[in-house]
Amino acid sequence: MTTDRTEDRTRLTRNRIAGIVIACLVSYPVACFVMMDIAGMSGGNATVQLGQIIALAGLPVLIVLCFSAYAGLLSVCAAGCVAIIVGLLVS
Amino acid sequence: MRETLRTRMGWLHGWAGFVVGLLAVCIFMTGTLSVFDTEITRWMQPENQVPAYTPLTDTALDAASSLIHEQQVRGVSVFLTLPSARSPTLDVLHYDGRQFVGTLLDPRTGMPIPVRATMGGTFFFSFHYTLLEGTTGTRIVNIAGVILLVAIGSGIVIHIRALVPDIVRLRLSAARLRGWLDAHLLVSVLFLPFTIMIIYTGVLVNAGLILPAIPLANLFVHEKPPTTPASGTKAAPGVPPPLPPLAPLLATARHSLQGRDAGFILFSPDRLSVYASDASGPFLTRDHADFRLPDGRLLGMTTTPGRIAHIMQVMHGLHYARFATPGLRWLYFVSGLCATAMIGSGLVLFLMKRRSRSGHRIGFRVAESLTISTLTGLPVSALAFLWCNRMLPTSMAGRNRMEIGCFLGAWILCAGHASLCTSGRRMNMAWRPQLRLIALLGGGLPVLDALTGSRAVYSLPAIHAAIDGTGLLVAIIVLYIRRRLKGDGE
Repeated sequence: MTTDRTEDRTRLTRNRIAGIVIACLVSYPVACFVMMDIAGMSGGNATVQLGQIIALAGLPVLIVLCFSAYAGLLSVCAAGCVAIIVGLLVS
Repeated sequence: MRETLRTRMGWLHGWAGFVVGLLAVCIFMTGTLSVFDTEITRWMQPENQVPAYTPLTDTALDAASSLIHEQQVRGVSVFLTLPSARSPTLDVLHYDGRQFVGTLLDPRTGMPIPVRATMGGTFFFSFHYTLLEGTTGTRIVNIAGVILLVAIGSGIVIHIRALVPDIVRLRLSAARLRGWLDAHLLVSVLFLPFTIMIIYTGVLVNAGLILPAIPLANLFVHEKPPTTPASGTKAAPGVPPPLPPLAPLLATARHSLQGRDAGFILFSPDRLSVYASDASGPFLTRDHADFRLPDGRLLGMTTTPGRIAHIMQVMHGLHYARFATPGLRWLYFVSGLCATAMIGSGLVLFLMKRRSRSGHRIGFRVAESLTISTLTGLPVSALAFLWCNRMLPTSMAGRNRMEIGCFLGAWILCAGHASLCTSGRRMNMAWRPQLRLIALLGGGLPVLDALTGSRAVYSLPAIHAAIDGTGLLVAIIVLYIRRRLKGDGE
């Protein structure tokens, strides 16, 4: 019984660590893509700053969303795909 | 074990908060002290007794011009900081690779003020955003800021249902864990808007370090080092011409800057630029008026127009708070202290919750010693830094490096003491002597000030009363916490 609980807890911790690593690995590129998309709009340095303002506000939210549930991870991945497509279309 | 959103967020809040919290306490505590960096520098230079709002005379500006020209002839790249409400002296400064150093001039007579060499309050400022590690440190601080925002986000998810009740609930007489949790929630909820604002704007100040504006693919391509020109190709700089009278240029610049006061003047071989003061408004701009040298003809204005640039300037202005009046500055200071208390209480809670299950583990003891050396070691070293400033001989060579050595030495000693005590599982034995040391150093600050800088105390009572009083207040709070620890009997 105790061994089961310990194994259960270890598995849970392992899942959570994997979850936060994946959340960071997914969220950071998404934030970068969002920033690059906004920076790609005409406007020079100002749009880069706007991109940074928005992406930095979004980055912690994306990480929490990614980590919260599987659906959150999927939605952030979807947002990343949209950002990539928009970036390709703009360029 | 059933995994819910709340338990998952609780795990993220605890671990993200603890891992980054140790660093965040250092960043927040030194950032809070940096709110009064100029005042701390004045406290640390009791020889400078120029009162605030002393009018600047043309004689002083001419003396500054001569000094700047002398320095330029010697090849030193200097700039001139103009008097302000917080710093009434005229400073001819240059960067020595570590800090801005130079000569302080009396704004009435232009005579140099012989002050002791000190790191001053700018030490806390530079520690706050670089951790004394340059760009690498700034990058680490930025990453810590983002992780802290993640910890705050997960904390909000956990407590969203009880945000309002948390504000009115503080049960210090309840069980220790409950009391700490109530205190953590109270300061967290009350100062949540300030904490989020200050972390977010802080990360934005150096946003390019974590979100560089280059395509991701280019991040892994090494940049070619800039090619240095072959020796001898660079023309030897000639003797710079004398500067024109600065007073008329300042009047013209003030008119060009829409009535804003001038903050500082930069000099280049063919021009000088008068920059708007950071204290002139919440927009932290680098707007400046350029004048041609040597005749001093106005070349034009350089401003950053656009709505997005203004948003960025406000973000910077809110973080640096250089526009703030003394009242608002105190509000920043108290809010910063409460944000530090929020993180500190979170660290203590994290350890308390795990003590019964993991208290025997080496990892737990390391975590506890790190927490103690951060929460009590850092105030000890900051106070030791102030004591060192007054105890070292004023004419001692390299005394500013000694101040840093004293700061780091005190911190290392505290960390060593905490490690020794926690390795023997005598946690209170680590907390209590260090708390007593804080009380001793903080409570002794007014005495030290009166004994070593009594003339400055009389000529600048507000600054000295504020800093000495804060030291005394810290001593009282710390003694109260120590008494509570003793009452718990652990």
